[in-house]
Amino acid sequence: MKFCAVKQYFDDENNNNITSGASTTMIPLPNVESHPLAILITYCKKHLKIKANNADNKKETEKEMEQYEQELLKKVMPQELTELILAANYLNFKEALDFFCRAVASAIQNKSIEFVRKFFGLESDFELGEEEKLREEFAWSFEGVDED
Amino acid sequence: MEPGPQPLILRQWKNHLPHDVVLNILVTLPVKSLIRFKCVSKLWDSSITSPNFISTHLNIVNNNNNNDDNDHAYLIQTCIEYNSPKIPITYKVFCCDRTFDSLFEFSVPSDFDLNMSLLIGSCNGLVCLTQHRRLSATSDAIYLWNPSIRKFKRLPDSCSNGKDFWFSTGFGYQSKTNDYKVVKLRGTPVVAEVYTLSSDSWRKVEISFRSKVVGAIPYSFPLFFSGALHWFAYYSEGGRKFPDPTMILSFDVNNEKFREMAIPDGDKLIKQDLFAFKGNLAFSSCGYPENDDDLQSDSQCFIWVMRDYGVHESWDKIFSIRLENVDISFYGCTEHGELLLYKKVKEESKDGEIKIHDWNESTILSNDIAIVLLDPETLHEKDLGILRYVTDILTTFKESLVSLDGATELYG
Repeated sequence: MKFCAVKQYFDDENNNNITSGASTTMIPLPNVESHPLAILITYCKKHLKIKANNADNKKETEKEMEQYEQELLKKVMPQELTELILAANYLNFKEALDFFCRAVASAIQNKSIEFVRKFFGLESDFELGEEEKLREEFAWSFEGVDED
Repeated sequence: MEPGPQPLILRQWKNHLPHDVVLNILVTLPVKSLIRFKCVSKLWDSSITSPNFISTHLNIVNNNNNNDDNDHAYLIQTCIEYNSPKIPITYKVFCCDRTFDSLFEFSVPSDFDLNMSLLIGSCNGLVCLTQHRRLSATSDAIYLWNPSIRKFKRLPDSCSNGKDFWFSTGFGYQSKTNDYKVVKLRGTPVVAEVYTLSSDSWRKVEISFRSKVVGAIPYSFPLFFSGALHWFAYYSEGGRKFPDPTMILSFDVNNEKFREMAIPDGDKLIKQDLFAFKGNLAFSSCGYPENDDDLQSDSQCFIWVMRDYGVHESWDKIFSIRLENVDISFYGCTEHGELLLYKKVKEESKDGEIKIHDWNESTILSNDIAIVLLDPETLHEKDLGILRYVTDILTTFKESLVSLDGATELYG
């Protein structure tokens, strides 16, 4: 099940014996903006379509899905990734969440501490000298890091 | 339900991902990045070094190994011999990927004398090394090393140091408590000492096998498989100096119990080995074919797998391989079931060039020695183009964050 949060909403409705009747029900999603939601819906539809096309062939599905994911990443800005992750997380859409998390991981893999702090909106909370000590101990891990 | 939009709050936490989502991102990163990111904040430092994170990261590395040929998988210890007699033989450790195409050298800590040391085994990215007593006059030092995080630790000396002529060391992972153990077996009757990383100490373990006296084969290395260490052993009737193995002595790392397992029935050749073949315990016997002419020019290898672990009757002879005009030595087996062999051609056959990776200058090239990957089903051979003096290849290596400060229990 992809959009688990939405499914939960429907389950709750059914439990409360409210007949939904109409095929268009408005589901409030206050924590998701329309742009990332649109991308997630497209991702989900594409995934289902690829799966249907390749019926039993799991490897083909994976391959096609990878190709689609590569194309998608080219169109998405790094800043948008955090929005997409927040949306997928709220909607409880695991496949998309894992995919976008991996995309962010790829993007930050070779970056500096300063870049990563800025990207995640974090600040150093180390005591005086603690950070220097760590940097010295693991100086080798700073080799070859991308310039900011 | 009120569809009240809360754009202000959303904007505030726009870039703030909840910490568990951040961990979901971090857990797929390579070790070098994670070590660097310990410096981002105190929270990141404690998260990255937590046992649960380390275990989750390890599982992901494990699963990725099936898809990504570029993942580091093999640890190779080589002895590099330079052309100049003035430069002594140096030992180096390389890590390479599954196709043996890309590799890099692990920098060995400077306080660590890699010369005269042997690779014992590897679990979850930790490597155990020992300095062989016969080669080193100083001590029986045992080290644990995580090359991915560049940390190593010399183990405290065990009680048996300096007393016996030989011992056999094994390294295993205790899954029940997320701990690591080093086991030293020595003498006839066999006596065992066990080191546990979490307590950083040694203690003796009793072996009692009905009334029979058990001897372990000297200078052998056990196989860690299915949570247990497996040595070749024999029932001692006194006298014989170089006994043949007649059984397998296994040590369950979790419950610290010794148990006996039978080796396969059937004719054996000179050299026996235990290894893992596609998830099953396997037994190989290599040597010169029987009933061959006196020249002993060919090599033969029999391989059995134990279909049902622990059940004697389930030993199944699956391969009988004959290789012409070569001497072979067995390093181990890959996850895909390919055998890693050292091959020395007997005759002066100049069957084309052997490709040699120039891992270091001034290496001696030779056309008659090669390390090959042999598929026992198709008999297809792939020359790996590696320098000839490979002392050992560990096929169970993986990148990991596992620390040497002492294992800690996982929870949840």
